[in-house]
Amino acid sequence: MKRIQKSDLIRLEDYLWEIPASFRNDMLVPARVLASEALLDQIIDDRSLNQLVNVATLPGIQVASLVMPDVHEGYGFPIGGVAATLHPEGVISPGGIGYDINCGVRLMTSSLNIDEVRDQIEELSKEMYAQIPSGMGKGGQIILSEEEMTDVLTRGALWAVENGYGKQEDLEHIENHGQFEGADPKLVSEMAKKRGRNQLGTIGSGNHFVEIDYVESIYETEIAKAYGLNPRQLVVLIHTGSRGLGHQVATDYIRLMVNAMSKYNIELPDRELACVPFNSEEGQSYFKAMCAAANYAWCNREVISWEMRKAWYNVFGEAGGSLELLYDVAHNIAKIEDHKIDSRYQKLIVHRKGATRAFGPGFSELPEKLIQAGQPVIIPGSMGTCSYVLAGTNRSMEITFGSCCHGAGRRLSRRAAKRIVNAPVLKEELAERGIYVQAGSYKGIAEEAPVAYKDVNMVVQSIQDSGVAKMVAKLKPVGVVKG
Amino acid sequence: MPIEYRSHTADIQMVIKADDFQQLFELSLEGMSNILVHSGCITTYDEQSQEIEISGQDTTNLLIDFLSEALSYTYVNKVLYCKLHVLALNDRHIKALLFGLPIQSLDEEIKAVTYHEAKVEQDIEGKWSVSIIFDI
Repeated sequence: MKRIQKSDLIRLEDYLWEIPASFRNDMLVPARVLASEALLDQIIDDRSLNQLVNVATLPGIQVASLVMPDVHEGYGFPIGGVAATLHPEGVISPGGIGYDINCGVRLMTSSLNIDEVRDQIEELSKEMYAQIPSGMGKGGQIILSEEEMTDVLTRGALWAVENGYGKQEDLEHIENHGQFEGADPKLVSEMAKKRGRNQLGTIGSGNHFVEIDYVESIYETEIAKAYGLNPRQLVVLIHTGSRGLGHQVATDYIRLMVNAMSKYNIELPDRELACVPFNSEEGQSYFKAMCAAANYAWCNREVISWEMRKAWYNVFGEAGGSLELLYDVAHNIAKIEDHKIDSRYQKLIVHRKGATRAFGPGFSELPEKLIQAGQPVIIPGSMGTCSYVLAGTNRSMEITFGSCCHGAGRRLSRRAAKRIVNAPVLKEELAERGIYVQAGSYKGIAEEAPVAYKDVNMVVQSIQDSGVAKMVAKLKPVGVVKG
Repeated sequence: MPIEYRSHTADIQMVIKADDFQQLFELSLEGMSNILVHSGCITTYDEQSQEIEISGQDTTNLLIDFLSEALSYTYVNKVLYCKLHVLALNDRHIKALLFGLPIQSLDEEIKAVTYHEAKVEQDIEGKWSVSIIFDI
């Protein structure tokens, strides 16, 4: 396959590039890249844009296939992509959501200031590591009965609240209030349920983490005020998803769709893009199972918050105050949303794989005090660099189906990172800079080293300059529990 | 090298070269398990067994679906499967017993065995090969 060159792209705007639909005769729409020129130069180094062109061939795709500035090569779909197909006859593709269904990030704010408690951060990191199960295939404290599993898959984060593992006031601070109503647990396989039975409240491995940060800079004072963010305030970031249950749901349905595609005369350049019409029996089954897995993920992040709150209390006691949820975003998910195309609203199936919803001011699902500010968007950087809180804008509705990036974006493979990073030395260096890392293995630290990622500052600056979200605050890590 | 690993951004790519079709399945299983537990398949394997039966549209689907199923059983049974005893095998169907050892923990968590760029091929000498990308 011919690798895409910069000369294949047309510059539509300063931060928006297009590979025209004429580039390959099976493209149904153009393929667009949201990035600065400097980032585009990095992006064309891997095959993510070839994958983006493949996405532009999906039946029913609207306007353009899109990637965000943190894009990198995946399998089938690139990571950092958005694809919107026409509801209900356009396709749904599990590969456009990813294996970790509803992987996402939440941010909790505290009433403590880094300068008051800097001496206790190392102790807090150790207590977090003790309270929050992390690492490969690690089980948690909750073992779900069959009936409880059905409830978790149906009720999402609400299950955690009703069973004493969460706070009622958290719910309106979660996308879809932490519950997809269309979920059907009967469409989730027994294998998936078995894998999820003991994993609620666990972060898993890979790039998942729980992190303590402090607010280093504020860029938008009014929005920061609405979000409850103050200079030097301690905050908590949680990044994980639906664990083995979600992986199994994706595996089950990609397999089903690979076999079912021919029934709908769908031919694609890569089997990993496997898809069927949304309104087909297989499409509906997947969507309802995906909703159930998404509910599991929302419940998981709520239970982890409960574990985090315990760790917080154990270290700081009453003086630590409470941890309040600012917002919980999903970055591997498909949603039915209304978007304007050619001056007319259309119902679309918006696939986001490594992309975050970034709706602007006026979005009624948000809690009252956030409506005018726009939806909070949480962008974790790599361990040891920084993370950002952004606010969605209405510009995102015009060019990215209300989406923006989801992180820094990987630039080195895990193997390459392990080859060049000396993890014990890195851990020590980070500790000297006041960043305490707790991880089950040095391997995990090496794989997630800052050198393995793009520069998150450049990625977020591209987002800001393109206008799809505004920078609200920059966060600096001080304590990390790695999966 | 019958089993070779290559870097792939965010994932691992495994290349298998086998003398015959059955060996393609054997080496792929062993190669995947050696990612899950580094050098995990170097001892005796017959402590735990699991029957597995898969049908697929073609050889590529069959192999990927076989590995996906073996991976799921690894997680659910907490057993690292290293060997298989084939009961029936053709281009579209496999029935086999997996053998492995109980494990307490993993070195690597594989989220999925992907179909991305996977293609089972036979060369003119009758040898088989495949390249598989694991989502980790």
